[in-house]
This record gives sequence, structure tokens and C-alpha cells, in this order.
Amino acid sequence: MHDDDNPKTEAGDLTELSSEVTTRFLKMSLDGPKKPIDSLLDRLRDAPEKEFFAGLLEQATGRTAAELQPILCTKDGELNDVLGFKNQSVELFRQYKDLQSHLSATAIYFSAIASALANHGKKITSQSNEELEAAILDLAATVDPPWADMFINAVEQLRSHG
Amino acid sequence: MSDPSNASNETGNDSDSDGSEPKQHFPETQVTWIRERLGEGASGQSQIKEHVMRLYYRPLQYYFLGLKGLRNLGEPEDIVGGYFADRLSRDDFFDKWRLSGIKLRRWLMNGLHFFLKERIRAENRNRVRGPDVEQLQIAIDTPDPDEGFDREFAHSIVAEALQQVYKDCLTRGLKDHWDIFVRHHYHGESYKDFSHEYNIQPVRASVMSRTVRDRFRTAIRNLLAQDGVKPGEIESEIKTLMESMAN
Repeated sequence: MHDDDNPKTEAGDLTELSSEVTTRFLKMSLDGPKKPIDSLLDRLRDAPEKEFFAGLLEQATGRTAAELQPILCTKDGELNDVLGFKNQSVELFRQYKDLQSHLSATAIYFSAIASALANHGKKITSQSNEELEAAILDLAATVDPPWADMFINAVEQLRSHG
Repeated sequence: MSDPSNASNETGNDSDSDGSEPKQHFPETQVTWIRERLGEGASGQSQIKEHVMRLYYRPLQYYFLGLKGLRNLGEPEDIVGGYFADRLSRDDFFDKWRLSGIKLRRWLMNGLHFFLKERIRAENRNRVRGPDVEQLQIAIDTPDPDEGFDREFAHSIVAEALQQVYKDCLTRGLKDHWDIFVRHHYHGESYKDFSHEYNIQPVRASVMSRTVRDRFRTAIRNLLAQDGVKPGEIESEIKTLMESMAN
């Protein structure tokens, strides 16, 4: 990928760090204010099984991952179905049974919002673009395709439409 | 202050009077890591020593440099090298630290104090003109050495976390993820300026970078836990290290 003109990226080049760089990396390690999505992200990062995220979506909607993928990850899905999932998540939040159901609700909530953006160009939440982008990017970094691709497409839509 | 080299130390050894297992002070992740290594015999001990050398060798040299009036004891690398050679080879050195309840860096600083005391006494016995033990105490009591140590420890821990994540990325086939992370967060390049080199959109580049960032955060937190920082104190510990960089 790189030739000699590109910046050094081997770890051996990063042993002599300036104070400014060290501070920047330490700051990156801080948790920052706790956000609603954090418990889901923490769980996803700890989950060794690839299907964990899909399992949460299945639990929240009562549909299989195979049924959900065309609805959430392609333009073939109906926006009404996506909106229905979002409403379902709000109901799950309201009922709050346990952590697992809360994680499921969070997963389908952000998936529905991202799907509406990625496949229908609609923003169906009042959250600020900045908050939403950060949450969706974090999700994209922790799940596998096709969900990751759908989240990435959502952020691209968010950026292109401001 | 306890001497980590002594068989019975006063600080933190909470061995119950009925002879039951000593209480544990450290978070489970750290205890597990140390326990596992100690349980592996010579190879585990060797891993712990390598870990200590990588993270604490330079900070201790800076710490020694900050101890005023003691420079004629020797060069910092010789002093710390001699200290490690003497103390880290003792079988119970880390066992006793594990029971001490103090952070590893503090344990190592305390150990260095006692090592220096021994050096001073030996030199005085040999009639070499040098500092006396009281001078050592005065030097220890000044705040400067601690600041220098924290600053160097911050550099060490970030460099070590980067090394670990780099190796992890290579093992998992995430070299491009690593490169993108470094180009953005270290070299300050914008994703949109270089993502085309990887045939990806800027958003995907930022997602790949985030994956590495998450691993880096975990690495920093694990290293602090291994130093003996409790889970609830890691956030404030990182802030303290950041403050040390401003001094």
C-alpha cells in the first residue's frame, strides 16, 4: 500500500512520542460522558460471536436475521416497516425488562434510524447529526457486514444531506 | 514506606491472622494476568520482567535523575539496570507486590529507594565520597521526581499500547486499519485526503480507524489495570497522566 513517500506507520516508528502526541492518545482513551448507546457498544466489543448483533435484532422484532436484512439493509425494504421497528424499540425502552431487552431495543432503534437514512434518505430522529454520526460510526466499527455497510451508507447520507 | 525486597513488608500485606488466604486489593483482570504469569514459572516471570522493563525502565531513570544530589552514584541507566537485575530476579518480588495493595510503579519506586540506600551504604563502607542516606530522604521528599516519573510513564504506556495494538492488527489481518488509524490520529491526515489510496470512502476509513481506536483504548486500560489501578479509578488516572504532560 505504501511507498517511501508515505508517512511512517510501523509501531517501531512511534516509540519516541512528543508530549502533544502522548496527550492526544491519552485523551482518546477517556470514556467521556456516558451515552445511551455505550452499553450496547461495550457488549458488542466483548461479544466473540459474530451473530450477536443479529440476535439482538431478532429478539427485538421477532423476525429472523434473514428476514430483517432485505428490510433494513437494502432499498427494497419498506420505509413503513423501518418506522415500525423504530416505534417497537421505543415501546421496548418504555417497558424495560432487563439489560438484554434494553440492548435489543437500542440495536433495533439505531438500525432503523440508520436504515431510513441509508436506504430512503430520511432522518427519522430529532437527534443532532453530530450525535447520530458518532453513534452510527461506533456501531459500524463493531458489527460485521451487511449491518456495517448499512451503517456506513447511513453516515454518508447524513453527511451529504447535512 | 515498605521495602519490596524485604521478606515481610508492612504495607498492604493483608494476610489474615488465622492464616487464611490474603485479601486481594487489585481488580480481577490485573490479578488474573499476574496470577497466570506467576503460575507459568520461569517463562511467566520472564514475561513479567519484560513487561516491567518496557514500561518502567525509562520512567525510573527519569525518577532517579530527579533525585537531587545523587547523580554521583552512577548513570541512570546503570542504576536502574542494576536495580532491576538485583530485584526482578528475586522469586517473590512480584508475589509481594501483588499482596501490597499499591500500584506497581509506586512499588518499583519504593524498591529503588531501598536499592539506592544499599548503594549509598556500600559506597560509604568502601570510603567512597558520596551522598549520605539523609540526602536520599531529602531527595525523595521533593515532588519533582514523581512528576518526571509520571510524564515518562505516560509516554511509556501510550507507546506500549500502540505496540500491542500494532501486533494485534497484524495478527488479525488489519494492517490497513492500523495504517489509517496512524495516518489520521498520529500524522493528522484527513480521511478524505488519503482514503482513495485504499479504494474506500472517507466514512469507511473513519470506521476502520475507530476499530483500532477501540483496541487502543482497551490496551491502555489493561496496562493501567496491570499497574494496579482499580477499574473505577482508571478514568481519573488517565486524566492525572494527561496533567503530568502539561508540567
